[in-house]
Amino acid sequence: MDKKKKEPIRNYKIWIGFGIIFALLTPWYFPSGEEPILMFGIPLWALVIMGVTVGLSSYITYVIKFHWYLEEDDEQTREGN
Amino acid sequence: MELTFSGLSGILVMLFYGLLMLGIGMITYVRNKSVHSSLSEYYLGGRGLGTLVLFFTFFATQYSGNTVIGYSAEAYRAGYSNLVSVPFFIMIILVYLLFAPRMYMLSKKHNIVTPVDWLQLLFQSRAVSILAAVLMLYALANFLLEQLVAIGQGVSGLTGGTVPYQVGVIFFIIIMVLYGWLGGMRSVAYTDTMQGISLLLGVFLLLVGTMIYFGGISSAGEYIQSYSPEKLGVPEGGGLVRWLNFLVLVGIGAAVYPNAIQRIFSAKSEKALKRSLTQMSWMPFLTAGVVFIIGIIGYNAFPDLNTEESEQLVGMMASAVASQNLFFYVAMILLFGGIIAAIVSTADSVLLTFSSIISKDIYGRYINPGATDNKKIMVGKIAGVIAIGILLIIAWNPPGTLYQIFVLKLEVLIQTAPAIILGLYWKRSHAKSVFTGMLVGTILAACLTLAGLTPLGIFSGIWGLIVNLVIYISGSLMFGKVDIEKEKMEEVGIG
Repeated sequence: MDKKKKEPIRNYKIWIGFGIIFALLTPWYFPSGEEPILMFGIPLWALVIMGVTVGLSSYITYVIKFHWYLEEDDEQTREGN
Repeated sequence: MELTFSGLSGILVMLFYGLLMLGIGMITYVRNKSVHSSLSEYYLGGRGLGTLVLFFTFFATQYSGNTVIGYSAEAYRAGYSNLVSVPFFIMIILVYLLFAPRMYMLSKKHNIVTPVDWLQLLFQSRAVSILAAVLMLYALANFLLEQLVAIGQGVSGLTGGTVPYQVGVIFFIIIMVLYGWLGGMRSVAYTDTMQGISLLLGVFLLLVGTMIYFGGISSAGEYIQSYSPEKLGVPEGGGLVRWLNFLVLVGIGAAVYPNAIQRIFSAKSEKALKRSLTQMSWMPFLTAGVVFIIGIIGYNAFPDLNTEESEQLVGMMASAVASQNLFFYVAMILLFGGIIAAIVSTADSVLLTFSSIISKDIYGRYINPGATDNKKIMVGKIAGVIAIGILLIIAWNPPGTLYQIFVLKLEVLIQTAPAIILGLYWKRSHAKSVFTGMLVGTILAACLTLAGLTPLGIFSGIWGLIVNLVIYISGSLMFGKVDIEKEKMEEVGIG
């Protein structure tokens, strides 16, 4: 396989990263039933979730930029997968 | 929606936006006379959409006027647990990363025009292709119906009832069909660009106006803390399951929207596709995020709305902002023009994809394979108009019972996801198991939805998807023959 060709699905390490972000994207890890702490009028947990969401967009941007390159595909690439 | 732009200014803004869309359609036609020469010219803009236009057409397909009106009302009612609307739009792009890179490459190589074409390439199975075509047409028709109703309500609300619901719908349908017919995907994508810019600008100005006149998010937070603190709390139990459901259902379901998939086929180059998807991964902050904040600030402005009244929240806030001064009056006219334009821009892409499936997959593959592309396009156009006619009858006389049949969309569409995504990579995929999984998943999801059941708090569409996947995978493990499949895959260039 030509080393220049990159496809996100073939790189399992990328998906470990996405798995971690996905796990943090649902607010299961905050103590429930407590009085929410507000920062700038926004609950702290919501700020954390927004932080993780920015992390998701940044990671997607990174993966698209550095781990997706298939154009000018040739037969060799497909046989190598 | 209530807004005090009754009379002339409302009518003028409606005419202005309508004629602008028509003008873009005509310019596109004049500049691309060969648009009706082939299916990919008409339905995919000759596979030539560059980064900016591709981005806006993705944007307009994903975000409708409904995003602004409906999501702010939901944020108002549910509070911070509705914040999930921001990450779930980003999940769509994550799901694209699973299949879009290879899908783009293969679609170009094999001249794929529709998502059904794609499944035909993967499985070479008439049963899978026909079932998927039916599911997609059904979901697209329901989606279109929703947009038509929204156009009518938007226009009559914007003009304070001066332009009746029916006139608004008919006016924009005629405009939409005309520019769609003239330039196909190119017209749709170029008008999407205009429509997307109007929506972004309008929503941004509404945010500025609400912050100036109703206070910022900070004072809204303090207000909510005093009067309904539960709306600031962390979702727990059922709320968490619901949150997770949304991430999965919307992430996968919206990524396999046939009209969204066609935009992958329409990209001019891999670079253009990559750039526009990168931009899309940041848009939820500017759309769903802003709309969420507007809903939260709504507490400061109108604290005691009931469910029905809260649906009018955007209209009420815009109306209050517009009455402050001339600048905001004009700004709010822009907002409402933008909302209607956004609904039209979602509807036009749905209609075009609907026609393309009729042209290529139903008429072109099974009824008259020998027809010229020009004739196939004509059949698709006529079928689109007939579909709109039927949907209009339904929109005006909603059936009293089984109305939910016309609400099923994502639940049904998501059942095509395993075939579209897994079928691309798994050589052992067994066409009959794929078909059975898709069929059983759809029936289960539809029954659960119609019965209003969500066992264990899991949405009906996801239950259908789970059963669908189990049948797909176990059937393929039992009956899938890797060698034969491999041969077939290699033949079509996957392997």
